Amino acid sequence: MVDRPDTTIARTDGQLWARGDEAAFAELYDRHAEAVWNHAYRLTASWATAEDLTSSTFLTAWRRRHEVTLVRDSALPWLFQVAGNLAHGEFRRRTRFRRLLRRVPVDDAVHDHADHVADSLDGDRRLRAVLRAVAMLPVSEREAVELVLIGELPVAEAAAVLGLAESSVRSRISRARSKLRLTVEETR
Amino acid sequence: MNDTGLPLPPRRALPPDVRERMRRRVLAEAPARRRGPVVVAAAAAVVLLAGGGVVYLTRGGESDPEVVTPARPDPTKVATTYGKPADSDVAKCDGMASTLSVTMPGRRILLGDGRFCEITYTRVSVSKAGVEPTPFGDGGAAVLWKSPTGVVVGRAPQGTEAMTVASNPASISDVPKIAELLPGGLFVLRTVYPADVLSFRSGDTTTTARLVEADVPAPEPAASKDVWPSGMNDPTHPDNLVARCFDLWLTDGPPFPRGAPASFDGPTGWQPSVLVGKADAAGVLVVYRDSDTAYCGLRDGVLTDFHWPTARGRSGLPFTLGFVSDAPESGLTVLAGAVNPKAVTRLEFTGPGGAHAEAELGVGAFAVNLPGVFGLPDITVKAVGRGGDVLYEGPLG
Repeated sequence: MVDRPDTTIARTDGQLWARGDEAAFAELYDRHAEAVWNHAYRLTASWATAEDLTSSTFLTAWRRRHEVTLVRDSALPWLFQVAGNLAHGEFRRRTRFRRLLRRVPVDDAVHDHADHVADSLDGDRRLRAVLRAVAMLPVSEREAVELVLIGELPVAEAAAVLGLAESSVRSRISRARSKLRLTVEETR
Repeated sequence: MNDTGLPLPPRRALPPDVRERMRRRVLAEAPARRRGPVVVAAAAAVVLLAGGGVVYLTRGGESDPEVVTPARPDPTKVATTYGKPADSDVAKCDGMASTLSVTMPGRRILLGDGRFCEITYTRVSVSKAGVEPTPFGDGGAAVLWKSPTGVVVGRAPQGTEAMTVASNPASISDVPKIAELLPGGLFVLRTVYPADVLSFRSGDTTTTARLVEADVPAPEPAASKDVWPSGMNDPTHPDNLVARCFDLWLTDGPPFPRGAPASFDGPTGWQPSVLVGKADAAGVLVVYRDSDTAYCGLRDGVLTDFHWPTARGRSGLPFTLGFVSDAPESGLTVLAGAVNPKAVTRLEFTGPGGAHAEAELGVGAFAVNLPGVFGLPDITVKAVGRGGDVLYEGPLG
């Protein structure tokens, strides 16, 4: 049990991040686990992999908490970026991830927890098609797409965490949209 | 299709057990990392923002699971035994053909020809047929299955005579580790590390292979069924809740075993005392045996974690506070502990702003869900004894 004194005061992500102790980190986890888990699924099209990726993302956050200052006082953009890096770095270098992108899963670990409706497989198929198309984008466009289109972060927050002007992010998104349009049409 | 123009799936609510599983993994490992070996340094670029703030940007390619420096074998490795499976276990595993049973803390795993079965205190899980091995290292070793409780079943390189797993002993002194080479070149492994370095010795040659947990397939879908020691099939039966609670503890490590009573010899004989928050975002089931108590945390009505009592609050109270929820997102402060019902007949808790709740009293224990998230010093408690006399009224912490 974590001793968490003075919990009556609502803290911002930035305050918790700056504190950097276990209790503060646990609170950050509680705040953002669901969002990161969903984002991880959208990056991998596998709930099982999303669970691993989410755990790895928070472990990375813990490890680097003293290296990083949060942008706009929210941890979420940075966590999304870490998840993206993990998905495209260590995870993607493994053949398993490539296999995941190719195959349509017939089962997944989350099935115990969610109603498995018939169209979910079709949804997975369409998501995989989008991910394959996103993976083909230049890195600069892919990063912007993952944060803004897949993660649905405000452009301003994505720009801040990417260290770019908002206009640069918008133009990257625009270019990427054009390239992705064909894929999106085909998956309908 | 959503506002982004991409056919993205709608977001889902994070199931409480998934949240807790990840939480345990993250929070159990995070302190270990703090004391552990230096991790691969992340490249960080300092960028001055327009608003004057400074952000350290990390760039792609540094998504590095921890590099574990090979070190001496871990002294916390726990005993693992193996042998011919019992007929009763084979029956539990739907008659799965198996010649080897591995017994580890909290579970047994039966190994068959490409099939695996895990038996815990309350659950039996049989793997799907035809699960694809996942090679690691230089490809000579492979992961064959990961059980629902996190035990990796693997295949060592051909000719392996001994296996060791290297990690930093100082950082996991309270985390039992499972690592055993089995007949037939198989092995079982369970650690709380994100990466381990396995050394396989064959004659005078030793090869090492790095196994990154994130690359190990999450528990493959397995046909799981509840097997209740009580013999009653209702999973909400109090006896089954107690059994499932202990199952969590037995199979989860336990990461933090301190606080277990010296007399503890297993889950037999423990009884439910009091339950609060079954329909809330957070709650607790207090279980007891003789004068000992233990605490099963609930999230959204699902048993998710187990705790031995941890002394909390100020001394001199007419009860012992043994459990305080650490789930701020629930909007509740869950308190529980041991109390002598012959001496205390009512416990009332009040938080800042008038939040008030009376504790449920059970056999030798109490529990209460106080609306709001408060620190112990901000909570006042009133303990009333027989005859209505106030035994204590004042701050909790």
